[in-house]
Amino acid sequence: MTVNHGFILSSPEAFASTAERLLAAGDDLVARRKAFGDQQALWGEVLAAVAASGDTLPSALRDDLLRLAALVLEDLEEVEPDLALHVTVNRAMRDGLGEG
Amino acid sequence: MAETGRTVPFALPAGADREAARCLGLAHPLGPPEGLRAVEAALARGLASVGEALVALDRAVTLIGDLRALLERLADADATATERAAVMRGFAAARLGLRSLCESVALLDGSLPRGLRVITGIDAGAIVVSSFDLRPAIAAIAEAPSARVAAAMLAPRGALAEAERALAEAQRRLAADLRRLRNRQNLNRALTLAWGDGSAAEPPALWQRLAALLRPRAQAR
Repeated sequence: MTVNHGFILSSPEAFASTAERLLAAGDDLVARRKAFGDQQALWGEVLAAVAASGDTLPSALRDDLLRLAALVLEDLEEVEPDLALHVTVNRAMRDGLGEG
Repeated sequence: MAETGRTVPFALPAGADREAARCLGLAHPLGPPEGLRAVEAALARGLASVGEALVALDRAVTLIGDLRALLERLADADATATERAAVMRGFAAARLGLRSLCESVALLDGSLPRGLRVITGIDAGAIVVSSFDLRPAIAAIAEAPSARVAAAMLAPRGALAEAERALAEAQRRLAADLRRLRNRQNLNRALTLAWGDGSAAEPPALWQRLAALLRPRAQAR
């Protein structure tokens, strides 16, 4: 999805579906591992999109996105990431992008 | 089980690895781009190693499941001698497979004589990866169990349950290691993009802070 100034971010559906996969994984170790891997890939794309945007993105928006990406990616380094955090952040992204 | 959080020793001090370690070190400022490429190569080796270990652990979980099914049949006191002999052959094969699997993972870094362990190929202090020795858990699985021993191994705190717990813990920790390595890959990719054609002297301060946020955690484990 294009937010503005040619900045391309993943679609609202990508954030929503990843959140749903995280919830659906439950206690299945393999499914959880895959869902958290998907989450990491998604937010890795956010990071790359911000990086590729150069100076075209408003600095406040860029800083907010980077802070959010750092929060998400940092938590994914835990042995047991905070499922609620990831679902909440993704749903907020879905809502925010959906309005745009 | 399981010794975790050990720093991986630096086995092969090749130039690229030294450069990778330098760029991943806490004190080193980010970049330059050729440094990132060296880091990327080291990360790719680490990811391949941890990924292989995870695949092996998944296979080990399957084999433990096979062992459980076979033990349940061995624990059946009504089984005939012929049935028991057939089950025992399957059990021996699955147990051997489990042992071989651990040995193959132990050989991932080409030097370990025993246990299950992974190595990233990155200098000590740069990325700390969990290491595991599952031999005790696997050794507790008897080679030729009687019906009574089979029942004991199937108990909630028996040998099989302990092996399953050890494997699950190893999987969880290795999965976190994999994500840590991928985070550095994500960050490297972003930094490379932020630098563009390399004309910029250094990435924006915010990127430095982001890198700092992600980096100490690798040191702390």
